[in-house]
Amino acid sequence: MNGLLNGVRVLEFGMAWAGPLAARLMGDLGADVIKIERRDARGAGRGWGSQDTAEAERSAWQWGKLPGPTFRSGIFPDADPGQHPWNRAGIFNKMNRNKRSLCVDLKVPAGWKVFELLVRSADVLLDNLSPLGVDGLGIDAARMQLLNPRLIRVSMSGFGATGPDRNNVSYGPVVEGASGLASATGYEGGEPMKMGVAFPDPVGGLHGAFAVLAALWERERTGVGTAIDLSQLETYTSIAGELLLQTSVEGRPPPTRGNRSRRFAPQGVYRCAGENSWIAITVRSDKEWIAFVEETGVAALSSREYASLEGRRVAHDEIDAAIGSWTSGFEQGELAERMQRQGIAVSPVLTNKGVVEDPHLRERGFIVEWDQPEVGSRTYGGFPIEFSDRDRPQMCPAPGLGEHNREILEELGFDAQAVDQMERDGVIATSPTGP
Amino acid sequence: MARLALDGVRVLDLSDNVAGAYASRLFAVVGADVVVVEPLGGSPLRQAPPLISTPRAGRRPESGAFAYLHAYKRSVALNIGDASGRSAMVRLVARADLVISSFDGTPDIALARDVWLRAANPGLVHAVVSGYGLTGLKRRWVSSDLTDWASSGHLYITGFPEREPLQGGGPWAGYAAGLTTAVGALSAMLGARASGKGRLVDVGTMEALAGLHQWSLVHFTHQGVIKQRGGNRHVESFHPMGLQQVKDGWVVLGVSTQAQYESMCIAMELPELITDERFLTGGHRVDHGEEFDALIAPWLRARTRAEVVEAFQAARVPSGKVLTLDETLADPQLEARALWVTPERFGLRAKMPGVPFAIGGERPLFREAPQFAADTLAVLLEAGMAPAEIDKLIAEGVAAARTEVEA
Repeated sequence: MNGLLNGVRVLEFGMAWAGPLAARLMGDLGADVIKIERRDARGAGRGWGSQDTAEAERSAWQWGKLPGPTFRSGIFPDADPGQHPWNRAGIFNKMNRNKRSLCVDLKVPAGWKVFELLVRSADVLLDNLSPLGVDGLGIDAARMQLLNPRLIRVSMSGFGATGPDRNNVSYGPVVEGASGLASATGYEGGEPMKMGVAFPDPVGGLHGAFAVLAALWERERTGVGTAIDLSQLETYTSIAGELLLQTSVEGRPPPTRGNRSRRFAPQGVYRCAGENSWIAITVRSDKEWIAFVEETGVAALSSREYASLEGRRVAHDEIDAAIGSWTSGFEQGELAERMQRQGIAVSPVLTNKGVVEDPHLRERGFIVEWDQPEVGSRTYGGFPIEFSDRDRPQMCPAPGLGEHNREILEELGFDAQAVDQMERDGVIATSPTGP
Repeated sequence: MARLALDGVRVLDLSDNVAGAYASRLFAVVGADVVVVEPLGGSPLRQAPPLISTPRAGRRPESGAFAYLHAYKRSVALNIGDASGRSAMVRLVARADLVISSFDGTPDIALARDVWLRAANPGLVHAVVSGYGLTGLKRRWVSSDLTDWASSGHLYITGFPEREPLQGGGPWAGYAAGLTTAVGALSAMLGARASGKGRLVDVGTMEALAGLHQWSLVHFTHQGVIKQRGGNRHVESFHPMGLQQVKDGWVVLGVSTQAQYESMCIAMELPELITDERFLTGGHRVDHGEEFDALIAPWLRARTRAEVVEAFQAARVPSGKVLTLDETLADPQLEARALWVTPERFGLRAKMPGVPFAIGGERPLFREAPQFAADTLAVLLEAGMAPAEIDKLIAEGVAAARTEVEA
């Protein structure tokens, strides 16, 4: 285990994706991440309240099909929520490996006391709640740093802790709209388009992780913690700085570009043999264009007018048609390898299956498998960085709800009887309250 | 002014792609001294779109990408392929914490460079960002932003189901790879500070982006489902979760919980939808999306973006306007948060994001992206080179320096 962050303790109040991802990166790197979970287990992705299962839907399910609507959102292994659905939700489990779970009621004094002790022992407290959620829990930076002046307190809300929209409730797609980036995305001349995933979440999460690391670096010098008020809206606009700059100078946004490039031509996504099979191609120079045309052997592409970038831009539609009719005769993987041998930037358009099965990612050690109680052995995307020691992080399975209650409380100095009492009183739990 | 988080940290950026430049920009905005080491022909990013006119007569349009990505940094022009250029580079590396570099299809050259860079400074962290990484079957593959979206599984799931897969509206695959690189590099630096031992950090964009799937990969590994494109809708479990048309454009709705759903129905004065069997859960509403949208369209289309979002946010329903980029530039929330800076070389109305987050509320003073070779003299002098040595490098055509007069 590479353990770059060994000895760092992170407390996470993470909802959905951005916060859990930031904390997961730190957990992968060796930090002790404790996920503090609500007694009703809501909002963390433990099945999104889909415990109410429909037996008829379950029995009708087959591998490869979307499950019935009632229990679809948890992405349970083999579409089976099991006895404890909150411990089987694939969407929770992939986001929360390398963490421990403490399920504690912070609204009662005994629970708050546990939490205060934890805060005193922690290096980082991270959330991606709205400022209203932060106030509701009483975990604002000022209050937390009174308990622990060395604490790094990062909030990663949708809009930031100040400003007129600070209290807006937000998910990733809302930020795609508010940032202008949905409008910048789309087929040529088409309507605004969201990304296939809620891209603002990982963009915000990665910025959050970087900010925490920088604050840890600073604390070595200053000895005191700090507060970071991160707005997912701002981090998302920050990946479009050049488009915003262009818009400010020209007075209007550039038109949507579909799959084309503002720098190279041709560039596009073309059909391959087979159903819904595609290939992405970018020809980045006149020299690459010559090699590309030669490899295709398509006479229509060898026009002298296409020798220059300008010529290819003007005739992009015709070129696309000729390339598309040629590529449609080939299997995507075979074609990509052929073109890559000529040094041309081509990739098959991989599905989720294609990514999981990709031999390159497997050789790199990105695709991982872990065996988890109540789940069994499953395959997941792993840690996306290779260090020189070729030492990818170990994958500890995602915790069951409250799985580490007792372990953590005993570390904090509670004896077994006190823990038992808290269990009986419902201060801590391993199954959710409520419907 | 208080010190910034990474004050005293020195970063050298040898990269020539968006990913490397955004990684080093992140270091710059938290206080590191970042020097872009450009080849004598200038960084290729200086040609990257968009090319934007400047108000000064006779000046060619300049790259908005370079102006944005390399803001807050300095520039040195040095040919590190030349032996004396390399020895000058070694002087810089000896006192650096981090070098960021990139490659495209040439891992062997990148690895050879890693050997002499880290020999010059055993505590150095060297982060290398590329399309596919330094190891593995596809390490010699070349890539573009489009092919990065394709290889990582994001392209296939973006766009309308009946049309071809669609890329993002900007080089965001590169930005995300840059973010991953920065996280890897800074964690390796924390390790190096403790142990004195530097590291190579190897980030492939395909892999970095493949690590940013919400539930796509799990859909396949848990249920065998091939995730499909859904246009502006969520295709599996949630609805409405995406764009909806209103009177004056589009809004985004993001309903995931039952409480949010009920609040939305009540806000629209359509309480009967709550108990309608077709719409009981998000999954049901996905399956009956067309019917559902037809029922809420009259309410939405009679209202503006502002009216819809005000009503829904008052009911705590996640929602927001879809702004165009010019509207984003005028957005009161971003204005109130002081996000914008003005790179004056493009005129006084030019605006771009400055610092994406402020640690302890501290931000560096805005500094425009450097002119080519603007800091060669200062940086080489700081590294302890004698003026005569520097003159010799310039005379031999191994380094270039821009003088005040030229600037």
